[in-house]
Amino acid sequence: MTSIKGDAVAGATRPSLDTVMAADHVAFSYSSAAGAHPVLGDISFTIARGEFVSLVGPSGIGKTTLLRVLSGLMQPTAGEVRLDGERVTEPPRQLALVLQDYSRSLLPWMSIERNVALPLRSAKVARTEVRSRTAAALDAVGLAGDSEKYPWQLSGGMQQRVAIARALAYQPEVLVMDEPFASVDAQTRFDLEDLVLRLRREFGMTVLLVTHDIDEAVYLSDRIVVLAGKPAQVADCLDVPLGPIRDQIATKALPEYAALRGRVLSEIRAASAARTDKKVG
Amino acid sequence: MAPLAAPGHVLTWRAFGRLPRLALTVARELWFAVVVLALWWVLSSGSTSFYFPPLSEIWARFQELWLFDRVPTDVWPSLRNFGLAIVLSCAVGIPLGVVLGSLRRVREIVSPVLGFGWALPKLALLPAFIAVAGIGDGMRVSFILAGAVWPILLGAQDGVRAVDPGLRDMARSYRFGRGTLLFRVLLPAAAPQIFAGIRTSLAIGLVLMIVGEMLVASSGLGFFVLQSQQSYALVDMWAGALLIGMLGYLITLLFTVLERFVLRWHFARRAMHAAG
Amino acid sequence: MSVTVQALRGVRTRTAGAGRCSNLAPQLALVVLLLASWDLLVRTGVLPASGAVRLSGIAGALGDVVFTAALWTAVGDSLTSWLVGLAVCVLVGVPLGALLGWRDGVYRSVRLVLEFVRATPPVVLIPFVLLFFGPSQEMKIFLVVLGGVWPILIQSMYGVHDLEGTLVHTARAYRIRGPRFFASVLMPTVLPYLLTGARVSAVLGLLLTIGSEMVTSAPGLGRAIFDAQTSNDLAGMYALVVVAGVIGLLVNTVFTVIERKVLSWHPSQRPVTS
Ligand SMILES: Nc1ncnc2c1ncn2[C@@H]1O[C@H](COP(=O)(O)OP(=O)(O)OP(=O)(O)O)[C@@H](O)[C@H]1O
Ligand SMILES: [Mg+2]
Repeated sequence: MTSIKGDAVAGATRPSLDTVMAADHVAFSYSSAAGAHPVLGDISFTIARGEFVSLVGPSGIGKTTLLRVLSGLMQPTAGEVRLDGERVTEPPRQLALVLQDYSRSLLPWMSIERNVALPLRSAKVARTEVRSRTAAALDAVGLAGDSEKYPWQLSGGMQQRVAIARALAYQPEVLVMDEPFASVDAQTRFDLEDLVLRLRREFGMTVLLVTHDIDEAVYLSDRIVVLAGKPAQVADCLDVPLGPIRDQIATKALPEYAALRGRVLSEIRAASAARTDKKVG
Repeated sequence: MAPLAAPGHVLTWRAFGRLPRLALTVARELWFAVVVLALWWVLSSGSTSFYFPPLSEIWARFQELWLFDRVPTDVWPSLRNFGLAIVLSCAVGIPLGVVLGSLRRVREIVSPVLGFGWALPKLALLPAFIAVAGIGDGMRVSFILAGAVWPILLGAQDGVRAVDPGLRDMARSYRFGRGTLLFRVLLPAAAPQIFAGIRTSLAIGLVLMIVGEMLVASSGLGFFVLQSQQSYALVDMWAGALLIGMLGYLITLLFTVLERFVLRWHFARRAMHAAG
Repeated sequence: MSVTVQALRGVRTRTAGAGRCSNLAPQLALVVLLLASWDLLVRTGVLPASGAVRLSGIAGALGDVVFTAALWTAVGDSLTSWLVGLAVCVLVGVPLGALLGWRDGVYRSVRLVLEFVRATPPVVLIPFVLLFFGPSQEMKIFLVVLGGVWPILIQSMYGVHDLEGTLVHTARAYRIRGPRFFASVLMPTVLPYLLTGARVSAVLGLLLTIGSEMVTSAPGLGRAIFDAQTSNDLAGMYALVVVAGVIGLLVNTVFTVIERKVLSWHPSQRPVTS
């Protein structure tokens, strides 16, 4: 990991494939009165078109920070992020973001339907199309019957589905989600996972997902990027050769699934342990 | 709509069932006011006191004066100036507050000036206003404006400042244009505080209006009340005070209705959080 | 725990201080700009010379008036009636508000009358109060109480309501009683409300003090301002307006400092990051 600066972890960048998003030696520090606080140190990886990539790592490692940098909400202190070959300085049009604090991203003065439609209206999409896309997205997340309700009338899991529906209706090339299924019950969670997989197949979306749930990462992804260290770096990059079609029961029963799961878990454990050691020492 | 479509007997039955409860609620809200009025009426009925004339006399005079003889000369000009000043306060205060709430650096730079403007007892400015702008309607409106604009401005500023950063991130990530950001995100988010500011402005504006009329005008409600006192027409004075009280109450009531309507999402949400 | 809190506070104060320092120059520049444009407007005649006075004139008058006993007597008169009125507001408003907050039935009964009286601008009673008390301190105090008691009363009511709603149950569950209940549940809950109310009452009270002095010629700063205007001493009048502004600013600052000291743990005191 402390190899010469600029070396990418094996499998992190794949120049041969059609690259959508690339992180090129990205570093980030929060600055406060007490000085700079480095969170990300020299992170490089690429995401191919249509790929489903999960970002995992222990809590507080900097996953959300990395996501905000990748999606253009914050500027890296070093290195650059590219989307379709162009440097990202503001959130790009082709990207939709579902933030971790989903409930704080919904407008309490608008009905669910108007919340979902707002980005489309702002982008001057035609009225009829706004209506059909909104209805389809709400239907997809199972909220078709609640479209006139307000966000605060819904449970946490339902609010989360609204945020997801808003991103889906936007039909982005790249969907970026930060722990989107964290506060829903197990069954809803499985449904939403399968929904994302289905929509991704239908629309050919590229998905970048942050999660702390290893099962979820293995089940959904084509590739898993493991973050570790302080400041965080790409510790490993794992292919998940489970094929394009997944099933909550059959896939999770595969021996490859168990093996991958074990490997990711031990890497995250190692990363957490290293962090704790450093803190104590 | 739905109950109208329901069979008639169901509707009547329900209405009957609710009637006693409704009556009880109304009674609970009203009895004290009725008792106060009744006591005042009875206790003052034989009054020969110079200060406290009988309520019956005040009420008779009230009808003579305000229904509607002197409305065009004394009530309407006051209300027009007041309304105009409040509308102008909103037109000036809300945009300025939004700008200051959005731009931290500018806000920090102007904050001492704003602090002085807010803290200055506005009535002290009245002689200066007279000296500069004379005693016409223009002066009266701008004087009320000078006092009423601050709470609105500060409400808008604080409201915009307190907009959840999560909402700002969302707006940025979906590339909302300025118009969408302003009208769909920032203003609705700041609306509860803007309304609170307007409420304060209404109270301050009313005080400024009346004192202004007491000191410089030759018409208007404040003038009428002071004039009556100076000519020892205490019944007139009380009738005027009663009217001003009613107007103040009415303005507050109308404003509350407007607020409840515009911010229905806010009140509904608050009620739900309070209950659950 | 306390160490961290101390450390955080240190950081906050320092950053705030640093921010203030870097802004001092533009802040001063803005003030100078505003004053200069006033001067320019007067000199070019946009503001009529019959009403506006140049900066040098105001400054000169301010320099003169600050050293007169008359000014300080007037300020003293105004502040005395304001402070006494405010004290009465607290003494009357807090218990009454607490009663209304405690007993919902009482509140519902008096709500209509309360709202009516509260919505009535207290200045309408100036003529009546003037007849009753004459142009005296008592008259001013009466008016300050009449106008200023409501914010404190209402806030006290909200505070007790809040207390009733959540904390009392917790306190009961943990069997917190007596002085500890007072110190750790009652005061922390109600105090923020009371301070908010007191602040509004203070501002309103100052407005009413000065207003009643202007209308009734009771002794005080308001009367001094009005007298200066009637005797056509415009520079003196503007100087007194500046004094009134400084007093208002002081009152505001005192309340801000008290709130910060007493409520350092309260959410409203946390710096807003934007
Ligand atoms: N606005 C901020 N200012 C300063 N430091 C921050 C800020 N946001 C996060 N940090 C710090 O950066 C580090 C990474 O935070 P981040 O939220 O990216 O972690 P995470 O991996 O997303 O954690 P989790 O899994 O709990 O969501 C943490 O140590 C955190 O304290
Ligand atoms: Mg996170």
